Amino acid sequence: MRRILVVFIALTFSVFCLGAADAYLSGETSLGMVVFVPPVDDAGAITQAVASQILELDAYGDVTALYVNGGFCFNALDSTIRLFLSEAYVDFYPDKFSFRLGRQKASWGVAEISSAVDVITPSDMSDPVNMTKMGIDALKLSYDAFPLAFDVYWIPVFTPSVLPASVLSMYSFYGIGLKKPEPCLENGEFAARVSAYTSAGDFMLYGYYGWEDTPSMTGEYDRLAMLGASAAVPVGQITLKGEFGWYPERDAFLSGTAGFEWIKDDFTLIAEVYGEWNRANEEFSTQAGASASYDFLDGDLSLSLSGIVELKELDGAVVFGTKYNLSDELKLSAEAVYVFEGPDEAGTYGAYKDLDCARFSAAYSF
Amino acid sequence: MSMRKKIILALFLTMAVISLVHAEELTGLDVIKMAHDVPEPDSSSVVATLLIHSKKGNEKTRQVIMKSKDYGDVTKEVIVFTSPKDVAGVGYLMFDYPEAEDGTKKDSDNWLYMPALKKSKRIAASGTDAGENFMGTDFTYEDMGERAISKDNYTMLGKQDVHGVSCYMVKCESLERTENDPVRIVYIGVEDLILRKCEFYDRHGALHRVLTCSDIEYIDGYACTKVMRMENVQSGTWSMITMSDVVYNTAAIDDNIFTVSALEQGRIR
Repeated sequence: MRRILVVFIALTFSVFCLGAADAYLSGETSLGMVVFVPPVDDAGAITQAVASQILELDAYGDVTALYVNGGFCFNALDSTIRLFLSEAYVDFYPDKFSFRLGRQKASWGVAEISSAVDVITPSDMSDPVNMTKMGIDALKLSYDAFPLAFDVYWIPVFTPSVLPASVLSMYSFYGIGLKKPEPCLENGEFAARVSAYTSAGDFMLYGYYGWEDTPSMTGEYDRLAMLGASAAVPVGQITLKGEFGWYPERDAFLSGTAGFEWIKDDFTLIAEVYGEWNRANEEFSTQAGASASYDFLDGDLSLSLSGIVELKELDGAVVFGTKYNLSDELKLSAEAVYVFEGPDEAGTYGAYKDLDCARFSAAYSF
Repeated sequence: MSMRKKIILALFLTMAVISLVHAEELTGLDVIKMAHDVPEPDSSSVVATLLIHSKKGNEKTRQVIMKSKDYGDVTKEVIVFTSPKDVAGVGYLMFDYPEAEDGTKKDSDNWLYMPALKKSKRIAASGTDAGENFMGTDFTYEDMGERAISKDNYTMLGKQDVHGVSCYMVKCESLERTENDPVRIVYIGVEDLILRKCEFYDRHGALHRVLTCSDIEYIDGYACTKVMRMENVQSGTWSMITMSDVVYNTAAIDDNIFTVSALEQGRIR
């Protein structure tokens, strides 16, 4: 809490020193519940019941800006409160050069389902069905020479992913402690992206040198280097997408994604195939994913269906979701998640087959 | 009748005949071309408030910042939502290319930024049907842009007053009969050649929508229609776009905001 307050006050002070003229406070209050559904043994049991409050502060001047997103989450099942600070950064953009300092989220690549290059930010995997991106404490320098753009990140302090409870308990069971890299200059992370936005398409190159955001079996976080590229090329009504990543220090050292996105009025269809080559066991593994969504009632009601399947093990997951806007402020959503094993082995997704559930939430934004 | 009255009557009749002859000389295409050639600012910045009125009487409000700049070979436009909260920060960047002399047109370049995903994505040019609703309003994407003259056949129907303003009445028939509203009757001010009203007829020839333009002001010498109301007479819904904070040809609209990086950075305020 103290750390959050210090960051907040420091950022607020700095941006107002830089001349912010306007400030807006907004937020979202939400209630969420997750219920296990058949065929699992615990069908009907409430596995998650949370109330959360998010506050956002957006302040800006002519060439400066401050953004803070944080709040708290109350877990009704164990009566605990968790504070969080998702993002808190200052921007300074006097001209083509700009910098962003503080906790920030970033997203790399053009894939929507499985990315081969998006290594820059860790994930909160505490809810494996609903993973979210986490912020990194970084300095980002950018140079915008449209149609080219350059971004360089320095991440002085490593932020690991938050692991699922089942994984944490496995480390604990075997008495393995998680060992994060010492916070020192040599252990900092570096990342760079070069983008070209042309009429023919968007083309990007990526470079990353840092740490794996999940630990190895020994509890240590391994070094990670990555060189990658991506492209998004519009052809008629569809956008073709491709990504390629080379990870010299990983066993699965080559990975790639190919797919397309088709948007027609209120309908969106995304289909992707992801593959990676593991040199240790000389295996090529692939998975296919697809997502379709349709908006009704001028966008007030939306239905979506998405799924992913591992093409070798034939395990996967399917999610059916619906959202309804009661008003501009009040929104309801429901989701049904079905996870299935492969016929011969459980597979990566099949390991979570007991997570079949229905999720409900209501959110009021202001 | 006194001599003075006879002279006034004669002058009036003469002027009326001259005016009639002038109107008869102008074809529908002439009027559309003249209206098309009305000077427009090279760049603009506006805050647009979109009021969407449903058949049941419910109302929704959307607010966007719209900035555009004409570079001759390309018009760049950026639109960023500021309200409601769930779409605030969503932005579109569009590069629109002019029609070539042979009537062909290069596809526009389009990007969409979604703040929840922290990424911008490339959108195929034809992903959005020009005839589809613009942001849930009764306007279509085509209504919001400039329609190529070569897309229609034009017939001059005469003159009619719209809210006390004398207007040319021109029938525009699309060469593409597959459009939702292939026939439009536009009412263009005789004096200023500014659009005052437009009636849209569907493929069955039935009146579908009516656009009314009002609160026309001149800002830095350029006409600005501040209120546009589109009524769908078939569904009973209507939408209104109100422009505010209109700024034309200012150095404040700098080239650096028409980039994907600026969109991702949230620099468009």
